[in-house]
Amino acid sequence: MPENKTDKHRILAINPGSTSTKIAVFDNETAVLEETIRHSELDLSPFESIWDQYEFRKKTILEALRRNGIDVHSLTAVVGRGGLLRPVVSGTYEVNQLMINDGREGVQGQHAANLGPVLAYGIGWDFGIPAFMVDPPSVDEFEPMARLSGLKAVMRRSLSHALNIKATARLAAVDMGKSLNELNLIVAHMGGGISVCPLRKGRIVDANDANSGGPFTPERAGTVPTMGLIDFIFDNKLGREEAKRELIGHGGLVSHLGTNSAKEVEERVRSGDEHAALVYQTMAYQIAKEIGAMATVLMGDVDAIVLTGGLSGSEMIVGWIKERVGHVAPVMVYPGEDEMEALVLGSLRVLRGEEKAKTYPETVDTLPL
Amino acid sequence: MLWGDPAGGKSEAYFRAFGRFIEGLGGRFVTYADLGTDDRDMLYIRRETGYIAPFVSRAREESLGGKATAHGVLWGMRACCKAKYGVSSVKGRTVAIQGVGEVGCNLARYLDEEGAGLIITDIVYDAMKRVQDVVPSAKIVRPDEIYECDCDIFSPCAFGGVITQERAEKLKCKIIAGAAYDILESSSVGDYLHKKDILYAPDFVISAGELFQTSDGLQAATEQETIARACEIFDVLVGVFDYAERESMPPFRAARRMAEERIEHVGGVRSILAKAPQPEV
Repeated sequence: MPENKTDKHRILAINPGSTSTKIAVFDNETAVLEETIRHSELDLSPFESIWDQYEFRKKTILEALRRNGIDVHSLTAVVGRGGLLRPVVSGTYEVNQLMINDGREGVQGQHAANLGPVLAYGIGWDFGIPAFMVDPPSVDEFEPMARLSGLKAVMRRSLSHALNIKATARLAAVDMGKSLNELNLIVAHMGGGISVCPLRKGRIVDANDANSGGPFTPERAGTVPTMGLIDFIFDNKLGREEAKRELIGHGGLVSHLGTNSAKEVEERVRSGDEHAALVYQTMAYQIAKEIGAMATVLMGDVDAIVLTGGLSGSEMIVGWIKERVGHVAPVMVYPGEDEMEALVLGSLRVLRGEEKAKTYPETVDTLPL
Repeated sequence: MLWGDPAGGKSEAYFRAFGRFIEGLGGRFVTYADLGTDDRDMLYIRRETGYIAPFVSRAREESLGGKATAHGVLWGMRACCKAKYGVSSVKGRTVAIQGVGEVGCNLARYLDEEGAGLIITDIVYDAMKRVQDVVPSAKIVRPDEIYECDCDIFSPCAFGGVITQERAEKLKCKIIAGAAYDILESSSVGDYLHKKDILYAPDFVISAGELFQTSDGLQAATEQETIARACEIFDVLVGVFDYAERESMPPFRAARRMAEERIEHVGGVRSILAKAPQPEV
């Protein structure tokens, strides 16, 4: 494996979503291809499970490479986005059989991203190149107290937008002229889901789990009063999956305003819709409140608050958050997200020998309680 | 055998010429569909000769052929276990399968159901994924690692000529039993395996399962009949191993000699009836 930074690495990054597969090809840090392959309902209808979509998605990826004139034999590595795997420490992992088995079983749930490692492995196998996975959502560096809830049977889980959070934290550290492992940061990834994470010396020591708690988001409910939630589920006779759909997909802005489009809501706010303004400002209020809570995790010793994700491009949201948390630490804003680049950079660190590839599953010492 | 590039070398004339040639052999040779041929090719041959295995669609043939061959190999492995370990069962044995296409994939499933452990390899990952989706415990190794892995049975189910002298020296298995044809690079390698106490089930015996798709008289057999008859491979192999032991020779040589004796005996049979005169046209 080449370790020279001047060596050229051509890396294919794969990020499967529910109705699309994003791919990118990078020559070292430079993107030479970025494409979102859309999958229609008809395309996916023959498959009983997400896992069964593997061969279809692999074929569409290889076709897209061919269509764009990328010779698959010119690739030197392939990296897939990680799915809902076992709790692991942050880093770049070589894809292995246990990881693939966990993705198939859905050890922490079924998600299109579970296909990321197996797609990388399949292409890597066929063309004789290494396959990696970087910072899956199940990155778990929680400290012991972060694991407990008030109900013994229900533990808090470390699930977050770890890939973008770690990548943005590294960017912020570079901009601050320091190493990530000498900083305490609070990073808020604000997109369709919102993850607010305190990073102590680079490690995500707590997180809200965007599907289970924290601020509400454009389409997720976030933390909901428990008694009210129990009544809501029983009164409406909701099954497990129906209840999940109400909380994830039908919650947040969708529940209050009937849309998950922040752009549309902002237009309504500007045109004087007071209810839209209340709801939208409350979302920012809840994000700020979560940042405040995470500041206590770091005992108030916070070097910077980092805002990232699609919503950090909103002046309204960022402005409201800054008003409430500006006194805690300086606020740095990195609009958007680049998961593809984050995947590639993670692979490059290993290919260049700057970091050793981890063997899945590598867990933190504090696991399990 | 027709040897060529299926992508560019096929035509109606090509297969009809082949059919006429087979017809000229008067039943001494019967052909059937295999790698690189499709339903249309078989139809062209059939226009010229009846000496063609019962016509079944390629899709059915691949599906049933794969199952039948895999069943035959499983029964062959049982015969090998009986000869080697005294128990005609693969339960608890580790089987390394080289190539998990149609036959290898079915074989892996049957072996898993019988309680055998699996090591698999293939040059194409998707084929292995199909096995692992059904048998998650199947361990994957790189194609060049399969010869040296710790296993009881090595089962080549991909290409011929894979057992070379160099590879034979690396093998850790006690039995070689697979569906691939002509897996020995040479007869001397077969003799070496025998000396090394590795029981090699002759390829042309153990891989014969798909031939049972044809019942006597070149009629198509049902799936049930095909699968049921594939178990006859057990008895045939036990016979081969007994002959080999009796004659103190490697089983692959014993199988050849048995086949030659059979051809000789059947070839010596004479009809007492004269052939009916053909009407003049």
